[in-house]
Amino acid sequence: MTEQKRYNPIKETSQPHFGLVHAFYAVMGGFAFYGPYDDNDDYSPTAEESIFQISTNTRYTVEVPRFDTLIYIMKHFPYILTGITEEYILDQAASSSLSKALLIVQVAWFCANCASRLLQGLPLSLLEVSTAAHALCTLLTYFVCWSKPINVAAPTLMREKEAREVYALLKCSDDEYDKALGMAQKRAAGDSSTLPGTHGSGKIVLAAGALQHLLPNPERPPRSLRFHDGGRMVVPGAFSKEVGRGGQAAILSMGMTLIISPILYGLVHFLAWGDRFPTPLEQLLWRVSSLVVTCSGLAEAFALAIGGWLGDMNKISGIITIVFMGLVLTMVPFAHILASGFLIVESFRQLSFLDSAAYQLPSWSNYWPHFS
Amino acid sequence: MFIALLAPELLLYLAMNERIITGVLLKEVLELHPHLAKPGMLAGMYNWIRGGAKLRDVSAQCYSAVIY
Repeated sequence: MTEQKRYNPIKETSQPHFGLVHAFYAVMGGFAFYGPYDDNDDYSPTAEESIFQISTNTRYTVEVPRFDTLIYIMKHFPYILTGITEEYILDQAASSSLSKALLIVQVAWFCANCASRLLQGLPLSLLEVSTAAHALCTLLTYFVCWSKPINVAAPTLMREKEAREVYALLKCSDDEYDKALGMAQKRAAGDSSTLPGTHGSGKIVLAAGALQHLLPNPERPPRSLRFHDGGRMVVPGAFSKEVGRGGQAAILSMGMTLIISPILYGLVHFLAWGDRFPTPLEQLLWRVSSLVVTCSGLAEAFALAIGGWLGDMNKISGIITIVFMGLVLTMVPFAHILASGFLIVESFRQLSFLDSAAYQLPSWSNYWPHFS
Repeated sequence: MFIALLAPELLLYLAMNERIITGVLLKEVLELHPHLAKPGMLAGMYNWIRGGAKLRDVSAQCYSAVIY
């Protein structure tokens, strides 16, 4: 039996792709290098280390590339990221599209239930209003993060030879880079004395291997900090300071999210504007709190814009700006937290004072398939 | 969990920020390597229905539609 007949092909090899799943995975710190380049350790790896030696070496640490580094990698060595398939990444995630879809159906049912109550003139309790606000934010969050692999327990360690070469290149100092470049050029010219295994070992040999792919016009890796701190977890939006190269549009978009997200959450609370409250004071506080929550993002964005404008003028206005910004950036989040806390507490407190109409069920939303 | 209960707008803000950063990365990568584009869901479905093309082989910009 020939080798070809002994194994049945399951599937054709897919073409390399870089889609939203890969991009999300990269931004959330899913692709990590694995190597022994600790700043306090002068240990140097050999180019011929086996996967077993690499996996069991206690000197090896994990490092997650920063935004500029990711762009550099994708510019010159895209195959080390696209070599990890989308199917593999999604396999690491704990949630599937089915579970997301079920959750969305359930949340959408709740929203439909609230809408049908309003259409039939039935009152919405404050708890329902609060839950609707939470549901709206949840739906939007799921929509925005639909392609994101969720609940991935550990990053994918890139331990292949090509990835180790790139990692060595990224960890090179200026001197080491020059040496590695010289070695790569000699190798390209056919100098056999610089082949791997014949000229010692270490970071420079590995880096030269990576640089060989970039000849004749190699580009130096970004000079800024290339990796996240080992002890720091990558949180959503951790790259926000690094996307300056994404242009003003990206920065403006991020400013808009600061305004939009509290507005979306706060606006739903206005549905209870005319509701019956236990006391008139609580009604007033609910209205004020809704307003504070809705406008807090707008106030912060406005303060940041004013601060940026004043900061460019002169020294005295610079000091005033710092004081003004400090006050606004402290007071607004504090007021937001207080108002948001009141909205949640009040929505539970009102349960003891509900009128009988609040217990009537709407007619048509029960036809929506849901869990209850 | 607590953040989702107390401040869902913060989660939404973080999610939208992350999506924007992801979009910036994806845009830069596809400018460098257009052939790495992944088909969008609608583009893939349209091409699959029209020509029996395999979804994974059709790029978002239809650079390399492979019709079987």
